[in-house]
Amino acid sequence: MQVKRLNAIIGRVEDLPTLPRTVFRITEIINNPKSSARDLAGVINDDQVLTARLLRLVNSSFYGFPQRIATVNFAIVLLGFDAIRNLLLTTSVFDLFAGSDRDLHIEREKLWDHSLGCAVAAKVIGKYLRHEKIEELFVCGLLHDIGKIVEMVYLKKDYTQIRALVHDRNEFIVRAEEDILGCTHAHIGHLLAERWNLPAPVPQVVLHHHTPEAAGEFIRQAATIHLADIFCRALDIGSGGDRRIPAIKTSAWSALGLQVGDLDTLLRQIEGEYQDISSFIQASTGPSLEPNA
Amino acid sequence: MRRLSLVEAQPDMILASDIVNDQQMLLLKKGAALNDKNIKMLKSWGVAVVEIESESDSASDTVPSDGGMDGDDIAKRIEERFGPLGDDEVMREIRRVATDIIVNRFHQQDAVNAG
Repeated sequence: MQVKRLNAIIGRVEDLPTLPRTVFRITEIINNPKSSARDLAGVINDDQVLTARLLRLVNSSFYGFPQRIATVNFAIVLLGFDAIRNLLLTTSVFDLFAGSDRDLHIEREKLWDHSLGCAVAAKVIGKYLRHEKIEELFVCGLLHDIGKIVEMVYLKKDYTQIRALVHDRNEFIVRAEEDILGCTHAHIGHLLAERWNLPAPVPQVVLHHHTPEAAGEFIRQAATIHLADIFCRALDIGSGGDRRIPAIKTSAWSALGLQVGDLDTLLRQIEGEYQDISSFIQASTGPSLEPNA
Repeated sequence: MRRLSLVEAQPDMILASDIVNDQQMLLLKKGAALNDKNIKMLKSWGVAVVEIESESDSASDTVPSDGGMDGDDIAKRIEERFGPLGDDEVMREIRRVATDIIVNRFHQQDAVNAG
């Protein structure tokens, strides 16, 4: 990949999307070992929409706590920092996908479904393999294709050409991206993840989700997202922009250490969990948010 | 023929073109009559727009069934998307389980709609 070419493309993207300020502050607090649940609650309480979303999430059947949770503070204690960051990122990224632009509306929605599906799949695979940081895998899955959103929103003309190539030749979107842009959504997404200061391994996993063998110390995380992507395509969860289902790379399969006999359990669990969480998130981000929910 | 958003679609309207999902899987054939059941099914697949015959077209080639696809059609489409797998047992197993799940999903949707 020619760095020059990528920079030229990024130069055309005048104003890369930024994470909402609240999320940025929350990430800072979570990354600081000295901060307490009270610090975090303070920031969330300043943002009415986030407060409503958080309380709605913890009171939903997805978490299934027996009593009603009325305060942000209590919610944080119950769910933990990582889960909260996860939720905040999910909903902020959702906003980015939602956009107000009517062009490519359906593609964006399908990509959102695909991303959420990969997040769920990554979490299921991680849990199965007893990976230590499950929430980190969820975030990687959610953001792995963020470069495609940048293409849809900021490089619309190129994206239209990419889409036409994918359709005419029935090829993988990465091939079409290389032809039109000279780089792929993985390169663009990596750059965005770095600008957002997302913690390791997110930028590296975004960059290498199609090439896990090159991810160095993060090969297991990248291999997890690589497999999650294949699972979601196989299960027809959303769309990553082309119709094909790539074969898993041998190096990724060995890095994970899974057996063929594990696949049945994993795929069925992903199907079940995806249906649960997607109905929740759609309900909780709709326009009918009550401020006092 | 006119294009309608799916939310405006009504039972007994006749489709003027095949409806496929994002993966080019056939959901309903041209000529099929819409009913509450298949409208719900289309919604569940995320279909936004349908083309229906306007009254002046007259529904001469109406198919009496609801023109849906069956398990074999689904399996065939999935096979195409995977492409040739040779002796890659990992991918063959993923294809087997995924096909089973998707066919089940479809039948369940059918059962929900029928109930």
